[in-house]
Amino acid sequence: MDNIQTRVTLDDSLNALTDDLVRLSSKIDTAIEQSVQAYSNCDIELAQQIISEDTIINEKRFEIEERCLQIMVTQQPVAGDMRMIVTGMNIVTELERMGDHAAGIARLAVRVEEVPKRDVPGGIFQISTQCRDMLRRSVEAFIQRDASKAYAVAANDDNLDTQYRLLFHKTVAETRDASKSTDHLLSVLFVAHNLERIGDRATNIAERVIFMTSGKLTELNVYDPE
Amino acid sequence: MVNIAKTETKISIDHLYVRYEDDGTESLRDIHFDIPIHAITALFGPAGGGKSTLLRTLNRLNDMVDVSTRGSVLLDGVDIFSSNIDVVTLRRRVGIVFAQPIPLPFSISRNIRYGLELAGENRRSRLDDAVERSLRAAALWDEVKDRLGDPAIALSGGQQQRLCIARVLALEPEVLMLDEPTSGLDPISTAKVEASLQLLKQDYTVIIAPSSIQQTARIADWAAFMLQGELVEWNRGEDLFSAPRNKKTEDYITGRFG
Repeated sequence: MDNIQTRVTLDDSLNALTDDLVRLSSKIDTAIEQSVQAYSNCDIELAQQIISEDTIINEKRFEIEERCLQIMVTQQPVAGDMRMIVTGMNIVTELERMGDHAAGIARLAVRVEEVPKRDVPGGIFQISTQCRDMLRRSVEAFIQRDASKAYAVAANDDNLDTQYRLLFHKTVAETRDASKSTDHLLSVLFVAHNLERIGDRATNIAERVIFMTSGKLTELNVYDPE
Repeated sequence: MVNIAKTETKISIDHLYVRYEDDGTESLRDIHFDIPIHAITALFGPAGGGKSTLLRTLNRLNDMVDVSTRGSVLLDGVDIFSSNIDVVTLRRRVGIVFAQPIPLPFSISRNIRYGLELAGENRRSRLDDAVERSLRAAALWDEVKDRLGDPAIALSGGQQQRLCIARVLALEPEVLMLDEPTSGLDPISTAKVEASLQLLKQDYTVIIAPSSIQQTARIADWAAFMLQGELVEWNRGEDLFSAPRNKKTEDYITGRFG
């Protein structure tokens, strides 16, 4: 009896929860990448695919939430187990909202006047790469239960905010240039805004990872509107 | 260690060691913490951790076996081991209820009256008052008020356990200790005993060795995790069960050992 394995069901359920979250985050990562691609290439077909896949992401979110609730009612988790499940529920909400931002970018790709290829400032691609990197690293911090990685994500968000501000001011300045399309510049601003929000949500995930590992609720980056 | 901020301490356990002399085992080692008034303090942990020994030390039931004790236990600031303490009075002030309810072979009401009668109370009105008051406090009154003369043994297991709680309460203790009081009870009876403890803590100091970890999480205002005779962690129940500080506590409450 001394060698009997305890927690088999609970551990299996927690591992399955982690797997689900990793799969969903990878879907979101792809959606962000493709949305910027669809926007810059005016690829309406790809944009529409992203918009329709957002429904699948939303469904997956409820599935994961349901899994969390089932673990809670059947296994009565406490302490680190309970914090992990609550964190899972928070992360899935953040991921789903990131999916909405990606779909938002895809909608801009569809809406703005059709041209073969847009003149997209390099800053957009840089911000997109960075926020996807933050997403991946925040999920990695979750899988590895590594608070120091979570803090690093938050530090990165400051950098992202700075880039966003630079791009914002540069784009606003360009609206004074009569040769540039205001519609186009506005859409650039909206795309950048969606990406910046994705970075904030990656920071939220990082905050939750810190809660999971320590039991402490912390705000890592207080939003600074300017 | 956490300090009980702004709550009054009922019992202060100060570097307590208890050793069973017959086999030389040290059952409690350096137990040091405060038990607050008007709260439920739960002692929990695997079997053999010293929970029952600690309970039996707090009203000196251990005097009946061969133990040696070091350190002190202060009840309202007075050491219960000091020579001028009357043990009978101490046990009246610090009552205990055990896992197995043992009703006396009398009627329901006489079970309650018995302790008071032994203590010399013979006024009918006082005794009747005590029966109703303690049965109400143990959340049993409504179920038995029309059959107080029935034999106590006819009660269900859950009712018998609440009768035993009422029997202790009749003596108007200050501290109510319960050693796994719901281990033999069904979920409904368990819920009733737990609910009555929530009411009782308003008037008494409650110390319990719960029947399960889940019960500890449900009812403990303060939880003390005891392992192999030592106090591993002591904290507010909600804090201990959401983020334990000690790895051993975490492992035990999440089912990794025990």
